[in-house]
Formats: sequence, structure tokens, C-alpha cells
Amino acid sequence: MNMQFDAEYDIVIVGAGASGLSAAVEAVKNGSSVAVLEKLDSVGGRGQFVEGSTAFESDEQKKRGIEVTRAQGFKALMDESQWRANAEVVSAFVHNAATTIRKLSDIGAVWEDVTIYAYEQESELKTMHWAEGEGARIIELMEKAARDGGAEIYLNTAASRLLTEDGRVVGLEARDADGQELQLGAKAVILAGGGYASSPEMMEKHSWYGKNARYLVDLGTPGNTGDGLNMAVAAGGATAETGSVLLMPVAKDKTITSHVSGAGSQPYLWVNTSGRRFTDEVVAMNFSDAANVIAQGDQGTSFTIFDEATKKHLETAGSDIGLGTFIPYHAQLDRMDAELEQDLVTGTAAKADTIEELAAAIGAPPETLVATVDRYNQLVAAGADDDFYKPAKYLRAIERAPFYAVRMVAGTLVSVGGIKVNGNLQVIAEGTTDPIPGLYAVGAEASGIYGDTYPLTVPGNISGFSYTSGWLAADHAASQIAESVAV
Amino acid sequence: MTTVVVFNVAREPAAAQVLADGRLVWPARKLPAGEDDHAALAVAVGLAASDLVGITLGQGDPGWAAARGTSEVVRVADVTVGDDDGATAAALAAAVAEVDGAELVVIGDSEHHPGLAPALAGYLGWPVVLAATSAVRIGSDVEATRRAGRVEETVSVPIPAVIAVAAATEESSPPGMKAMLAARRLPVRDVTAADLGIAAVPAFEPTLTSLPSSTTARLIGGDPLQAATELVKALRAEGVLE
Amino acid sequence: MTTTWLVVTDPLDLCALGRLVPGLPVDSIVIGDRALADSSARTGVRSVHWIEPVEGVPADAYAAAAADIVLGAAPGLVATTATAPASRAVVGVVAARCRASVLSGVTGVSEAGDALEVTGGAAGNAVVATWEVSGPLCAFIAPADEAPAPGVAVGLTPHPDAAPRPSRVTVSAAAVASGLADAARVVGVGRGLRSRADLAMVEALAGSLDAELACSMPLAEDLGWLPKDRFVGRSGQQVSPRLYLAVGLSGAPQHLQGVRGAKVIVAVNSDPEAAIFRAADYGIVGDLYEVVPALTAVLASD
Repeated sequence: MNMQFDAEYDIVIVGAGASGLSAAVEAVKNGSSVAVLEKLDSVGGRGQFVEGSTAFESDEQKKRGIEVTRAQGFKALMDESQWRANAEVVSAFVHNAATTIRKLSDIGAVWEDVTIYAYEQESELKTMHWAEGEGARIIELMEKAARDGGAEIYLNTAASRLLTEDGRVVGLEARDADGQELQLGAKAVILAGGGYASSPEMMEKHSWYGKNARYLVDLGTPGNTGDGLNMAVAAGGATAETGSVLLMPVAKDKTITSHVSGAGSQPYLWVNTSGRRFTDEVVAMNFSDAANVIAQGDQGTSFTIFDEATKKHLETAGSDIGLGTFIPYHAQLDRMDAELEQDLVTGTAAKADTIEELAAAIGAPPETLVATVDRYNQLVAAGADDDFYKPAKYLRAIERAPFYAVRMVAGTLVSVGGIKVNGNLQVIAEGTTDPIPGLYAVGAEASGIYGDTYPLTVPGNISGFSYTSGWLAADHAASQIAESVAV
Repeated sequence: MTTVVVFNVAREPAAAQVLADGRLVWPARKLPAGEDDHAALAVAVGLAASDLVGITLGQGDPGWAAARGTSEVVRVADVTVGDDDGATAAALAAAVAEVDGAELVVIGDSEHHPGLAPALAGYLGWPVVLAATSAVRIGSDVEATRRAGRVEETVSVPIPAVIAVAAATEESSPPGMKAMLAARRLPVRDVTAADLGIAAVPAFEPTLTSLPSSTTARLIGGDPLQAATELVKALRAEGVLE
Repeated sequence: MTTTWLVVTDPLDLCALGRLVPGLPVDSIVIGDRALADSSARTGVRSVHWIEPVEGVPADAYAAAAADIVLGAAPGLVATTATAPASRAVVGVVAARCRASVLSGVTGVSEAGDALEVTGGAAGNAVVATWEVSGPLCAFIAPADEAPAPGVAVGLTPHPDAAPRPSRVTVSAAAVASGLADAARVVGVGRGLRSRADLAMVEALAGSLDAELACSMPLAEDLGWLPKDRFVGRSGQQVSPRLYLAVGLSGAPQHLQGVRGAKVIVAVNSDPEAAIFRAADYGIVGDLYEVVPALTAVLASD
């Protein structure tokens, strides 16, 4: 070997989020020497925002008498992707996700519940394992287990280029916290950068929202700029289904726990920038699908329209749909008035005594919005939505002034497609079916279990896949290293 | 005329693993750096007239100190940190005695080892300034500042002396990876308890540990005024009100 | 026959007595002013050896002189709290001179045959530990809630000839910490607060604690009640104060990420199931609109 390395490791992991830390925990357990490079100043990445995680036939499910078989999981993920998912990767995930739950229990995770995500959504599988302290706690536990096991975690350290020799990856280049360039030798590199959602350019280039990607609001950490994808491609790696991104509706300039945002996420009357109704708002029950709808609209924007009676209903009876722990099902949205003080000034929301004035406030043609509301009220009165077939229980009249409009956009949680891998999480070389020796991609960096969109019907799948793919890659890398030593 | 910095000799609670049956497991190989170590090292670098020698025990990471300015590290390889600060201090004092010309010892003043720095000073027979936040050398004295309630004290003691430094904040800019990797190549002098003429006793540990009856907050009840009074008293005892 | 000693250089050191075996004769060594010696004398101790520091000399400088007095009486147990540097300094000299074990977080000491059985919190009170100590023991006691009720005073034994080591102390006003990141105390407020106007009530509490005011993300982002640089959490400020007092905060994981460095976390919340209580060291379950003014009043009357 003629390269001069600053240090050599068995495994170098790029990214200390959900998938990278899972890889690190497993790798040190296997006895591999490990360095984890995290480009932000703290670990966790978007794994901090994880709510719950998918598994099939786990101890926790069995304990609670929940039966979701691996076969069901496999079929659900394949069907949801219209069979664009990579069956080999789906199989590896489905097969090993229950082991992930046990591995996390071993390092201290306490599972409080296994459930579905959105109540009344009958197609959901009960796969969502909720940990005490949620994903943030899992990150803490994994960081500690990795460090205790001897993994070296370097913050503010960004990988920039993979080093290859005779077609295999032998290390990488990075820039450290002091701005120093360094070269690290590695028998395996695991790319765990968490996708490209922080990069507006890559979102526009890769996500299927195209030019509308510019209207998406990033809800995650700033480090996910697609470094893994770019490095893998530069090293000859292939991509697949790069366009899949997990979105969530959110009121403009608000957080996902905001009550105004919660109100805007309800399945009431949604209109586009022209003041026209455009969908069956019941899609709200599936936040991923709902955000896809909003993201495709003019300026990636829609307005949720309701009246004073519905506002009172939200304040007292509570929300009709929930958004996980952010807006619990039936949560009383009683902070709307307090938030509106600010939101009416910033344009996040509008309030008016007539529909015409409301239209003016949101920049829609008044006559169109009046016609839309009239038509909607007719459907409410008839008790049947002949236009978009929304269930009658979500048809609420818009009659009692004042009237409200909440400006909704789509927020990005994480991109979930990118590098083409096989069932061992090895990166596939472009134009071949062969893996690039020594190179892995995991978590949101890897493609495999999705088609073009994120399926909420198997709730918790991106975190479940991140944890699971992380340790699977570490195991496979260790076995390859052992083989090369044996030879 | 040598300054010594003692590091990586505090077992911070965050490093512990508590098992479901109440057993306590500490990292076997390496302890993470103590919370006050970075501040102690920064003070030591400022005080060192010439050489800065690091001293640590078996679970210490010499590279950690080397990357932050020590020229040499002495590691007592077969002594590890236990709950008895007196035993730890005795081993460290013996190691300090091995360093030629050692006249100033800087150590992190860990709140989880309140007896360590004072006992080290006791074994050396030197004065100590505890809970220091900064220190400068003035002639043959060292002058250290510390917070005492709402005032700041400046305490001067003649050298030789021990300065125990409490960190006010987390380390703001740790060395980069390249510097840390390079520091691993700097010299480490491993010595044993036998070399120092002390007994290599195993780390002092509890005979028994169990989970506390409640792992959640100590909840204070009663009417608001009564609860507030009790809380303020408890916080005063914790020393966090001044 | 060994003796038991209490080292007193701060009033809080007297609270160590409540953790020792009742009825055990305790001798005390006091470094401090007359008032400290007098209050020590009324705690039920058998003797009060008193060193009064000379103006400009820190109590710490008498550590060796105090240790000499203790060591002259064959100490078996020397107790104090980890509060004042001077008490710690005395213990350090004693421990080294009689090669005593030094334990901290101690909540109880009892005799078990020839040995001492010590109980206390280990790993920051993560577990309750029992240690067995055969030789002399220096114990940093976790102070009991109450100082001993004042009783009949014993006479003082002054040591006017106790010689300090050369050392000087000067006192100046402490620099005021500026900003959230360096604050020693932070009061964080969450969505339990009903209106912007009520912030004044929380500001008053922060004022009486010399604390910086912080909030959860929704208060800054969704409500705009505080500037955005005041919210603490994963995507906001990271704080590491000695005291974090969380008022009306539920304790979402993203928020708790920002206060991981806090030494002591106190929660005031009306929901006993709130996650903040799992992260807190102390909690008051109650209406913040009652508890916050009460806390402010108690702190003001101190």
C-alpha cells in the first residue's frame, strides 16, 4: 500500500446519526476498530427527531399480543413501492428488524408501546415501537454504547472523498474541526450521512418534486447535504430511487407542534393559491401523502379554511387527526389565539369577517373562493362529498364569522433514497450487479425499501431501517475483514 | 520547574452503566475525560513555565492530553479509579514524586471526587486552591481565582502547590481529529505501582449497589408556599443558588 | 478507642450531623467566625475546637493546623460536606496523614464489627451503594435537609495559636455572566404559560434567582413571546447552568437535548406524568401560577 494515512481503522463510518451510530455500536461489539466522522458539532442528526421504529415479530410485539408477520411486512413494503423497492433489501430489513429492537433493549432502550401512527387509519400495521424518550434517547444510548466499546467519534469532521485502489475502497479524505485535511485508511467505509434534504440544490435535482422543491421547508438538521451520495457516485457507485423524500405538512414558518399548524393539518377545506378546492382532504390522516399533495401545488402552498365554529371545535373537542406526539389525536388546540397574534402579522394565517376579505388576505380571487366555499357548504349540507368523496364526518360548514385561513407548506423530514445497495448494504457499482468492495451505504443514504414515496402504513420504517441497516453493514464488513485476514 | 497536569482520573456518572438489577458497570478500558479536565489542562498550559507533564492512571487516554499541550505523559498502568479518593490520591502523589522538578500540580476538581484534589495535596504536603477557575504565576506564588457565592476570591499560595480547577463551561473547541491522531504518537511513560513503591490495590468499589427507590425527581408536595420553601432549602444545600 | 469528627467551615457542614449515628459523640473543628463556632456549639457535638482566621487569610490556609488537632485524637471517622473548599482541604490533609479512605455522596455510616458500613449514592446517585471500610474514613456527607435543632451550647475551645500556611485572599465582585450559554442559573418556560403578559411573573422569578430567562421552541417560534435566541433545545441554544428551573415545560426530547449539561434540573409542572419529571432532580407538581410567585416570594425573603 503506497498511501500515507493519518490513521487506519477497520471501519470508518461517515455520519453519527441513527444509522451510523447503530453501525458503530455493532462494529465495536464485533471487535472492529472504528472511527465515526460527524460533520456537525453534535451527534444524532435527524435521528433526534425519530418518534418510533418499525419491526416485525419482535419480542415487544409478542409481549403485547400483536401479530404482524415478516411476510406481511415484506408484502406491505413491496406493494407500497409498487414493487420499485429492492426485494433483497426489503427482505434483509424485514428479517432483522426484530433483532434491532432486542439490540436496542440490550443497551438500555425501554419500549413503552407498539402501535400504529394515525388512529382510524385502518390499513396501518402495528409496527411502531415507541421508546421511552423516543429517538433522542436511542441516540444517547447508542452514542454511549459506541464510545464505551471504543469507537472514536469525531465531531465537526466531514468526509469529502473516498479513496480507492484496484476497484476497492481503502479509505477516505476528510476535513477536521481545525480545517486540517486528513486521510484515513479503512477496510470498510459505511456511508451514513442521512441523505440530502439539507441541500436545496440536491432536493431540486433529485427529489421528484422538481422545481417545487424550492418551496419545501427543511425541518431537520443542517448536515444532510448528500455527501454520501456524491462520494459514492464519484467512486463509481450506482443510484436508485433517489427521488423519495419524507415530508410533513406544516404551517409556514411554524414548528410541527404549533397549534395553528395543527389546525391547518386537519381535513377541513383545503384550497390552492387560486382559491379552488383540489383534493380529498382526508389525505391529512397520512401526513406523508398529505405533504406530497401540498408540495405539488402552486408555490407548494395550500390554505386550510375554517370558521369560528370549527376553531371552537378544535379548541375544546380537539383535533380530528393527530400528528404523532407533535399534535396528539384529540389534542385541544387551545393556543391558537395566542399564536395568531403573531401569525396574522406574518401572513402565516388570515382572519376575516367575510370570505371575500379572507380571499383578499391570502391573495386569491374573491369570487373563486366564495364559489368554492358555497360549493363546499352545499356538500356539507348534503352530507356527501360528490367532488372528492371525503368522509362525511370531516365535512364541517364554513358559516360562522370570523373565518380563518392557514397557509400550509410541506416540510422535509428526510430524503429516503439515494445509493443503490444490495441486501448486505454494499454499494453497487454503476452499470453492474457487483458491489464495490469495502463500501456500504445505510439508513437514509441507501435506497431499497421505497419506491418514490414514504409509506406511512408501515409506521416507523425509516428509523427501523436506519438502525437495522447500520448494524447489518457493520456485521457484513466484519465478516469480509475476517475473510481477507484468513486468506 | 515542572508543571504537572493530572487528567482522566474522574469517573463521571455519565460514563456509568446501571443495569436493571442495580449493578453499576464502569467502562473497563478507557474512561472518558473528566468534565473539568479540559479546564485544568488549559490552566496548566498557561502556568507551565517549561515542560508540562501529564499524569494519568490505567484507564487514561494519553493522547487526549497530548493533543492539548502536554509534552510527556506518565501513566500508572496498573492503578484504576475507584470510589476511594484517598487511594487514588496516594497513587497520583507517588507518580508526581517521579516527575523531576515537579512543583505545581493542576487537576480537575470533579464534583464527583471532592476528596481527590485535597487528598493529593495532603499526600504531597502542599497547599491547595480548590474550585479555581483560573490561575497565574506571580513570582514564587500562584494566584488562583474562584467563585465563592456571589463574589470572586483571589487566593495566592506559594509554590509548590496544587491547583484544582472547576470547569465553568464545556470545552469550546476541542482539538481536531488530525491533531488528536498526531498526539497519539507522542511519548507515554508507563509505570507500575511497584515502580512507585506503592501497593497495587484494586480500585475500591461498593460491596453492594441497588437501584434507588425512585429514579425520577424528588417530588416536593404541600401547598405552594411550603413546597417553594422546601425547594429553596434543597437547592441551597445543592449549592446552586449562589 | 477512635473519635468521630465534624469539620465545619460553612453552616451547611452542620447538616452532615443528621446522617451520622444518633447518640455518637462527635467532636468538631471549626474554622470560621464566632457565629459559626457558636452555632456549631449548639448542635449537640461534644466539643468545638475553634480556629478564627486572621483577616486576609483564607480558611483553607488553616487546613494543616486543623488537621493536627483532629489527628491528635486518633480519628476513626471525619465527616463534612463537599460544600466549602476549606472543609475539603482539611479532610485532604487528615486523609493523607492517616491514610484514610475518602468517600463522597455518603448518606449514612454505621459500625459493622471492626469495620464501618457506609451507604450513599454512587455514580451521581444513579445507584445506592454500600461500602465497607476497615481503616479510618473521611466521609463527604450529602447534607441532610435540616440542620440539627439548636440545643444547649457546649463551651468553645479556641486555638489562637493555630498557624496558617502562607496564603492571602482578596475578595472582589464576581463578573456577571452574560448570556444564556454561560449562565449559572437558567429559568426555562414552556407552553404551560397561558399568555405573553404572564411572562412578567416568570421574569420576576428569574430576577430573584439571578437567572437568565429561556424557553421552549414553541414559545419562541410559534408564539414569538421571546426572541428566537432564547429557546433551548436541539436546534436552539445549548445551556449548561448549575441550575435549570423548568416552568410549565413538558420536557420534549428535543428540549432536553439543550439542557443536558445542567447540574441540577428542577421542574414545576401541573402534570405529574410530564416527561420533564423524569429528567429532573427536584419537582413540584402544581399550578405554575401559584408555585412561581411562591418561589419568588421565598427567594426574596431569604
